[in-house]
Amino acid sequence: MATDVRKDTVPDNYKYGWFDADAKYENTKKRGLDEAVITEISQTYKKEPQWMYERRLKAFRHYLKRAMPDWGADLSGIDFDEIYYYLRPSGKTEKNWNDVPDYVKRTFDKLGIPEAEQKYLAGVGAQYDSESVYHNIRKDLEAKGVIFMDTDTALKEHEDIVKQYFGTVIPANDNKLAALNTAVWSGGSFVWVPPGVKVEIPLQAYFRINSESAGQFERTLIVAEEGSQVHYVEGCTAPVFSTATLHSAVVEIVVKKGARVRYTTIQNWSHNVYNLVTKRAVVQEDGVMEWIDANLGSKVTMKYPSVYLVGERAHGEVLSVAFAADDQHQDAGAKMVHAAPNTTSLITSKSISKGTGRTSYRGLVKIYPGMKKSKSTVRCDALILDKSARSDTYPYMEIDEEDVSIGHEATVSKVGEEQLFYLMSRGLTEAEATAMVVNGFIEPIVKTLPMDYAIEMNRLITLQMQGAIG
Amino acid sequence: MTVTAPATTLFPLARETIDALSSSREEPAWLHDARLAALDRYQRTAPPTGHEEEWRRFPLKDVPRADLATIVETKHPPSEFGSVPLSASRHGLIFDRMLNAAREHPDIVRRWIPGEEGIGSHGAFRALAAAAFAHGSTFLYVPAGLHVELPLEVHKRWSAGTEPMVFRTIVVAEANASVTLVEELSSEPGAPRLAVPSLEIHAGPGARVRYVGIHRFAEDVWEIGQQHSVSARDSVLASFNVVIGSARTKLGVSSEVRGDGAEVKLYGLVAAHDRQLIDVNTFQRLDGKASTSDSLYLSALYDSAKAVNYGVIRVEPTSSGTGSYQECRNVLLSDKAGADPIPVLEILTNDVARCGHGATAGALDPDEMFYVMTRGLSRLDAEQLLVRGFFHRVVSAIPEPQVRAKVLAALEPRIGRIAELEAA
Repeated sequence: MATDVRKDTVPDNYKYGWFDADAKYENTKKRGLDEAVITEISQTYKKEPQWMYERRLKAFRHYLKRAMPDWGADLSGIDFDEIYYYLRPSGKTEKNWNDVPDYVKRTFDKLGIPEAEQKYLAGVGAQYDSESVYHNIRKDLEAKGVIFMDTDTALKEHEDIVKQYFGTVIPANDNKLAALNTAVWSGGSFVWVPPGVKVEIPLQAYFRINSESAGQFERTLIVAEEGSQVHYVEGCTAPVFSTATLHSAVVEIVVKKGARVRYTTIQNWSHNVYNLVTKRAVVQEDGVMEWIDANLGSKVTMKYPSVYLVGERAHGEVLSVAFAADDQHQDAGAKMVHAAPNTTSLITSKSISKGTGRTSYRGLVKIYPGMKKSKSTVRCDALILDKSARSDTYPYMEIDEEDVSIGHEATVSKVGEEQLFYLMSRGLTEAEATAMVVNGFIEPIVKTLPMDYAIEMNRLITLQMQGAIG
Repeated sequence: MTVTAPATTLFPLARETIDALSSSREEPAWLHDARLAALDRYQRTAPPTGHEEEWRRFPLKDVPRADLATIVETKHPPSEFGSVPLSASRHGLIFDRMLNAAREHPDIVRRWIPGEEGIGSHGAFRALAAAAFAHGSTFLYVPAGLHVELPLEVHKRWSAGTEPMVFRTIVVAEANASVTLVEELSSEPGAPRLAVPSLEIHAGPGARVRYVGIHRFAEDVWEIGQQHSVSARDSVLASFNVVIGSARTKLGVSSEVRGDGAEVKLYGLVAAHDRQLIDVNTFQRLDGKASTSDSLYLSALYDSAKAVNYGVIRVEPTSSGTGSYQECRNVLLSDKAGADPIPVLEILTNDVARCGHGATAGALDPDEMFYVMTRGLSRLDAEQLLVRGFFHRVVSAIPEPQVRAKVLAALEPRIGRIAELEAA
């Protein structure tokens, strides 16, 4: 049964901190990474085609060669030799919730996944440690040809599409962690939306790390064909352990002509997870890509969702919310690369730091020569709640074209005493008043979320705020 | 035997060069010693590798080779002239060549010679200037309570040559003193050449200091300059850098606010054309109570010119109620021009009155161009007028009309008679 093994270390305000002691794994747990581990993943368990196996081995060589990023957050707490790179909880991905192993089902029942699916999702996927345990999509969407499954199954059933796009948006040698992911990836979602099909309600994936020192390396690939539309939402949780856990995903998105993709993340890892994720979208003409990226959990997050605008009139948007409480460092941001004329981008970042937390906005806007009439606006607002908190803004801009309009603005403030005074004179406690100001601060982001997520988001902010004021 | 290899220096500088430089100028022993201490720092300080955030966009590998030994026997010392005789000393004011000041006022000069810290990755160049500073070095000292009404001006002009131009300018304003220094740097074109100017400003408690640096070196010069200011409580400091000349300019401008209630303003005007690269790093450190530090850099970029502005505001955890803003605006006047504005904030406390930054890049507003041209101006005149208008926020922050005129005259090669008219 699921037990709270470390009650003493589970903070009250993290309700996903339990751990399934009776989780069963098919493979033997082995720490550290070498070619044998990759062979085990690719050949023994997944029985992958040769090209993918070779991709993995090649990526592993890139991984060994590349250095860890020496900028950004402190990553010295990760011991790559202590990590379990592959943990296989169940034999296959189920389409019927009742067939999911009991201990996994309990976990996701607790997280409210099946309930959520019935209520307002077009499809849902759930990943437990390394493997996807459940993927389902509504029949009507399936009939229209929408594919939503875990990436491993997609590699078996739609090998041609996977092979065509895998690693084209984020090559294995892009950075050390992308190379690591390519070498040991497992699970993740594969979404393919046929031309002209609009998926009106969101698809959701849920990621859960259960084992101590487990690394989760899911690989997500979304291809939106011409004129199609899709909204994908992901959420993440993990138990609270005393040792560090690594989550290093790669998300590749291809937005074809006139298509529209929105990708929403509510990242709520426990405060011992290093969350180092590479996310990038390539947008063709008249396409629209929107990243909505909320980072509330984890010990360290380094994540900069990117949009490469390669077709005329393509549009990219990143809405980023980061909340760093004690001992957290949220190094989040965005990257907009304008590689076609008349492209536009908008980055809005809202960060909140509390206690000894640190938020950093790190972003790049790059405009190549000749990309006339491109426009980019970057807006960063930071709210610092305590004397010991820290907020940084590192906005890089490389503009090599004259006929453009680029703007960046940032402000940093604390919660105004006048605001607090006004709210408290209306009968709120200081904590309630502060929480209200914080909720108001992130309102522009929350209102872009589907209703249920907006409620969840506000609830998470409230949890993060607990204890903010004595 | 183990020997710790000294850090490889960008330009070799021998102890013999320092000895010869000191003895040929008949420098006092303490000054010679200070140079040797700086030489030691220079040899131990690794030069930037190009991986530092500040240096990533600057082609260090193409810096002209400079033979520092040629400084000793320089055939072409710069002409130096100023609005007042350079050896002004009245009411305790010292405004002189560094060497004269060191001989005549050793007690005062000695205090300020060791130099200050600045941007970390610029350390090697700071040490180089402190070790090998030669002709063109200036010392300005304003004793406590003295108000220097008229701006002090010094124009340093190097004739053609290949010797590196390495010089220091030290400005000290004691408590409640006030002074404006205008420093104009220029050279005759010739061969690729290195300039390493170093500026230090000390604003004492309640002092008011204004510095205007006009950089118009010939366009074969690589200028790698350092500026550092230290602000004591209640002081007011404004520094202006107007950059028109040079092939490549790298300027490290750092400001340190140490006391309560100090005010710092760092201004910059860049008007670059052809293939010029003007790369400015600013660093604004804030500590103390209720101090402010703002920077405003405006760049107009013609042809294939490029402006880089990587600037950091750092608000220390021990500070309270500080205000700071960093603003960087770029007008691109050609489709080959480029700008990399990178304003960084590092805020280690919530007790800030205000903090923020803004950066923009883009062409002149076509509507404004149209409007001005309907008034009968040619395209060129209209463009010059709008660039002049774009620069206005910095130009108008200079209160003295004669200094404003000097800045506009320096900008003439870019904004033409628009500047002339106003300067007249």
